[in-house]
Amino acid sequence: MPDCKEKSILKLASTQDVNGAEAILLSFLEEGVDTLFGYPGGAIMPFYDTLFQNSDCFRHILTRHEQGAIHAAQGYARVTRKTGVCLTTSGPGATNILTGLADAYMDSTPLVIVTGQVVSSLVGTDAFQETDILTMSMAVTKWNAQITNVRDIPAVMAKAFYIANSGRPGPVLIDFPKDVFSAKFAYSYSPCTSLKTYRPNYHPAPELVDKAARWINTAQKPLLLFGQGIVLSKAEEELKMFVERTGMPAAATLLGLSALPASHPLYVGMLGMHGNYAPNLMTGETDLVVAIGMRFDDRVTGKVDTYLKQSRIIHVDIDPTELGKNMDTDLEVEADAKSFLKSILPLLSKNEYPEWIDQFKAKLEEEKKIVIDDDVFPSKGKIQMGEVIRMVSEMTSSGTVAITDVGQHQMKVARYFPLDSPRTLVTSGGLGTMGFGLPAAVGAQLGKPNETVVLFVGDGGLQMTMQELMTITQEKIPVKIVVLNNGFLGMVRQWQEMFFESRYSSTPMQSPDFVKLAGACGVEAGKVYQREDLYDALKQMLDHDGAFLLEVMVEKEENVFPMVPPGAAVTEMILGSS
Amino acid sequence: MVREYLVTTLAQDRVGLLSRVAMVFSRRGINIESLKVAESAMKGITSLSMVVHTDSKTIKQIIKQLEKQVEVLQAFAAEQPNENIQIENKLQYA
Repeated sequence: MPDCKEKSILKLASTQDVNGAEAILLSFLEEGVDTLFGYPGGAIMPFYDTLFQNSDCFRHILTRHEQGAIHAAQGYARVTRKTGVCLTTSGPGATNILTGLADAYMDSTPLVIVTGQVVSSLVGTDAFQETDILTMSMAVTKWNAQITNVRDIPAVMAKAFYIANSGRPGPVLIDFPKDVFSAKFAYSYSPCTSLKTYRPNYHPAPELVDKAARWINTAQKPLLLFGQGIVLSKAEEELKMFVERTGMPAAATLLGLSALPASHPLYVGMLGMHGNYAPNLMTGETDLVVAIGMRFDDRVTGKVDTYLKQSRIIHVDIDPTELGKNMDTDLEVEADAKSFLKSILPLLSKNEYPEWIDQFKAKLEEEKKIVIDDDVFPSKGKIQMGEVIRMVSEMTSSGTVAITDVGQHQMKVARYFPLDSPRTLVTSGGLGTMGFGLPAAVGAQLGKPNETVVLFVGDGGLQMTMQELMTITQEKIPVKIVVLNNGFLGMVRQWQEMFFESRYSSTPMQSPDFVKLAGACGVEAGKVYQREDLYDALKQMLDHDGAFLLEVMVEKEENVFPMVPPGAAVTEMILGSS
Repeated sequence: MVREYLVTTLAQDRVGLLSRVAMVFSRRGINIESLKVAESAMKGITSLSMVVHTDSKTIKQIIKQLEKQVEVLQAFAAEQPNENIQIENKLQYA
C-alpha cells in the first residue's frame, strides 16, 4: 500500500483529534496490518464508514459468512506468520466467529478480532443484536476486553497485538460499543513490548540445557518429535542444524509438517493416529525423546499410559501449562523452540546412528509395500485420493501451499504431499474444523500472492463453507480447489466400517453439482471420473489463470491407513483392516 | 488422592477477572467451595482465595492455567492439613 503514508490518517492524527474508528485503523497501520477480513453490520457501521474513507491503506476482504472471515484471517496468519485481523458486527456476527476462535486458540494462531457491540447505554439490556461476546469468547481467547472509553483504544490495541503474537500465539478479541467508534480524542500510540502480569519465558534455564545436551550426547536411540513451535518461532534453520549435528531421526506432528524439509534424510515422517508407521512404532524402542514445540496431543500419543514408557523424555515448550499436562516427562524446559535450539547447539557432539536409522527405513519399506504404493500408484479401480494428491505435488513447485479441510483427505495430504518449504501447509489440527479449508485458502492466497495455493477438500467440508466461492470471485483470488468427492463423510464412515459394523449412520451425503455451483459463482470448474483423464484435468486446473475448481470422483469406501485404533497404544498401529 | 486445597491468585483487577479465574476450575469439573476476593497490599492487584477439592496433579495444572491468564500475576496452592493428621495432633496434645 505505497500511497498510504501520504494521504493517510496518520497525518490527520498528528494535527487533530481522531475518532475511535480512525484510532483502530491507525493501530493497524502501526502494527503493519494492511489486509482485513470481515463482514459489516449495524453495530460496526461507523467503523466501516471510516474504513471506506481510508480504503487506500487497507485491503478488506468481504467474506460471505463471519466464520469465513475468521478462517481466512487464520489462513493468512499461518502462511505469513503475521497477526491475522478479522472484523465482525455484534450479536450473530460475533457468535459466528466462535468456531474460528476455538480453532485458532487450539492451533496457536495469532489473531486480533474487532467486534462491534451495541451502544454503551444499551449494553446489558438484550438490545437488538446484542450478545455477551466477552463471556462467550472467554474460553477460546488468549485475552479479550471491551473498550468503555475511546481514550483506551491505542493502549488496548497495542496490548492486543502484543499478546496475540508473543509467547504462545493465540486469538485476542476486542469488543467496541458502537458509540466508541465515533467518539473523538487526542491520539498517540506506543507499541506494547511487555506486561507486568504476562511474561512469556523465551530463554531456557542454562542448567536444563546442559542436562538435555548430556542426555542427547549419550543416547543410543534418540528420537526428535517436533511440532508447530518450530514454525511459530521461525526455528526451521536451527532445527535442521540440530538434526544434522545430533544425527537423530526427526518426526513431525501434523502442525509441525514443513518445519523440516520432507526430503531431508533424517526426516522419518509424521506422528499420530494416521501418521507414518516407523516413527509411531519406534516410540516403543527409543531411549530418549526430545519433544520440541509440541503438546503430546492424544492423537499423537494414543493410549498415553503406554506411551514412551521405556524412554527418557525431554519436553520443550514455551507454554508451561503444556509441560506435564498430557505426559509426565523427565526434563521440562520452558522455552521458545528457537531459543532452546540456539542454546543447545554448541553443546552437542556430532553423532550418527546408522543402525537406528535403518530400523526406520525398514519400517518405511513395510509401509510402502502394504499401504503407500497402493495409495499413490493404484493401477486399477476408482481414482484414489492419494494418487491425486501425489500428482498435484509432483506437478507443482516446492513453494506451493497446500490447504486442507478435515477428514480422510486431510490425512492423505499430510501423508502424500511432501512439504519442503516452511509454512506451506494450512490445516485445522487441534479442533478439526470441517469447513475450515475454503476460507483458509482465501486467506493463505492473500498472504502468499505469488505462490500457487491448492486446497484439498472433501464433499462434506466444502458444503459447510462453499459460499466463499463468491468471495473468491469478487476478490479475484486464484486458488486451485481440488474436491475429493466420495459421497460420504469419509472419516466417520471409516470408523463406522471398522468399529460400528458398517452401520453408515448419516454419513452418505449427496452433493450439489459442484461444477455448476462453481460456474454460478463465477469460478471455472471441471470434473474427472477416470484415472486416465486425471493428469490432463489437473494440468488444466494448474495452468488456468485464476481460480479453478476440479471435482474428482474418488473411490467411495477408501480407508486411511496406517491407523492407531482408538484407545490402542501407538505401537499397536495397524497397516490395514485385515 | 483428592485433597482440600486453598488456592490463592493475585491478579490485576478488571471486569471479567472472576469469570476467567472461575472458568479454569469449572472446565475441569471442580466446584469452588468458598471464595474470598479482596484488595491486596499491591495497588491494583486483587487477591482471590478459593477452597477446592481435587488431586495433586490437577492442582498443579490449575495453578499453571491460572498463571496463564494474562491478568494473573501469581497463583499458588496450599494443601489443607488432612483430617487424620489433625486428629493425631489433637491426641498428642490431649
